[in-house]
Amino acid sequence: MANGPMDRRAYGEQPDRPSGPLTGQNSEYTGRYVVLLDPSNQESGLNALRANADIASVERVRGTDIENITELLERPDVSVLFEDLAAAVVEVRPDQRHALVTTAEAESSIIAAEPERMVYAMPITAPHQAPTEFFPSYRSDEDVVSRHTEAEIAIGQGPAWHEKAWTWGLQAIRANLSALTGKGVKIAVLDTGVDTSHADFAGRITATASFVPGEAVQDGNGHGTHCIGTAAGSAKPRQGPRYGVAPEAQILAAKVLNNAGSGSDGQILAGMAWAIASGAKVISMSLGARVRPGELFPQTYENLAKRALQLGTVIVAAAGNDSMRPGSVVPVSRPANCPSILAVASLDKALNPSFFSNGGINDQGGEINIAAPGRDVHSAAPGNGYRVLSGTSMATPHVAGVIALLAQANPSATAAQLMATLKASAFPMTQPVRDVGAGILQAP
Amino acid sequence: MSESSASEPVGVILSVDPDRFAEVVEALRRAGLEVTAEQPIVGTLSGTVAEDRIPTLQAIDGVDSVDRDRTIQLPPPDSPIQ
Repeated sequence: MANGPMDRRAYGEQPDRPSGPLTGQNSEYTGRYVVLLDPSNQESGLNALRANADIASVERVRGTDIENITELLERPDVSVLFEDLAAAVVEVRPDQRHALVTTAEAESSIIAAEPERMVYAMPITAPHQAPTEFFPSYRSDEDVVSRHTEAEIAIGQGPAWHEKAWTWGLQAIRANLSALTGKGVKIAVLDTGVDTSHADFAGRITATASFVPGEAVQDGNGHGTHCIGTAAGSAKPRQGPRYGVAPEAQILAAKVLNNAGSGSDGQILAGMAWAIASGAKVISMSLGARVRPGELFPQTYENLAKRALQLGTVIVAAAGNDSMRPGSVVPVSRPANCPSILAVASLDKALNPSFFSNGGINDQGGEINIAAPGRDVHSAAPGNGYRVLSGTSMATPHVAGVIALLAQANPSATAAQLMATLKASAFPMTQPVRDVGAGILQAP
Repeated sequence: MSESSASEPVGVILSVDPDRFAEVVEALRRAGLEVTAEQPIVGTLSGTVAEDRIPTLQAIDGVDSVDRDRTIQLPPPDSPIQ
């Protein structure tokens, strides 16, 4: 149906009806019905309704004649037929509603009939706007229909995030409610290095090491600095919202990927051993390589991770960004697919798995263990700056930061206990375990 | 060493029994592994070896695993998905 004059003016200003709304499961009804008629045979449908459902007398309205529609629609003794649209707003007595519906089903010239509903718009993008507007849901106006759809999505997604004081990620994992800071706990981030002069890390970079031949630990890429910021950025950043989960943690920065973002398994093993020897409570690895469906985890990493747990270090790694949901879900990357390494999925602001986030396709360690904010993540950038990035790379250091908080709260806990506590304290989600594991990360 | 090991050297990562690390690494060297880095604390090492020697390395007593060294590549820094 084309857009007609049956728009906001005609319907949007419709006042509440005194006829007593029917209350459905989640809907408020006006008591009227909206009936869509066969455009070439409108009369036949109306006659059937007159004969069987005792509808009120019908006033016909042409497209240009909009002035008196409001008044007509208010009258309980009048039904209104929009001839241009072959649609009628029908007044019917409560005891005749059933007859109307059965007539509509039986009569071939009636395409559809449904109760007119009150619809309240609650756009997520304008949280301060009072929800005063309402529209009938059954209409031809595409703009209004799309607003209606947006409002339904907004209702499903919950409130908009305000990132003035805290990033949405820190709010989602409830780090903004935690008094813990990770003080004294060492977090190792194996990545492209770190901007050692970033003000938000001042005095907290405990040790650095580069395992990239010919490159210093200084981050020429930005990926490492961003990840370190999420795990351990300052409680009072130089600028903008707080974005670091464990703002008093000690930072161990290992460069295992060069400034072009490339590195070998051998370099990563070297970085992991350095981090363990340096007393890291957690190693955060926002890196990985794609695996095929059915491919087994790399046993060398698994043996190392088991040894790390014995030595007191938890390892978390990014699940990978190779999916294109909903059509394609790619298995968790290596080394996150090792049973003794925590695989982290990415959530977006609606707390849904990000379209790119890999899933638990392979068994034997290939599952997702936990989900964390990974979309539109604000964190540190080289040059004392900030950047917004998305990826399971951004989700992973949120988890590392929370492990630092857990370690601060439970100084005698073993690495295996920290790992178990982390999973047990995740908030369960309605999405498949394949995509979110134990659920959304929660700070203690 | 066998003369038939004409295949190209490839990168490998290995985990071995940490309690006899030096001994096992020495056996690996004798079997043709060119060691590039050792991590005795966790019992891992990396190196290069002729591809057809990998089964020989795996068979050495005290060797727990041999995996092919793979390169990790992040997206370009300006890519929105990391």
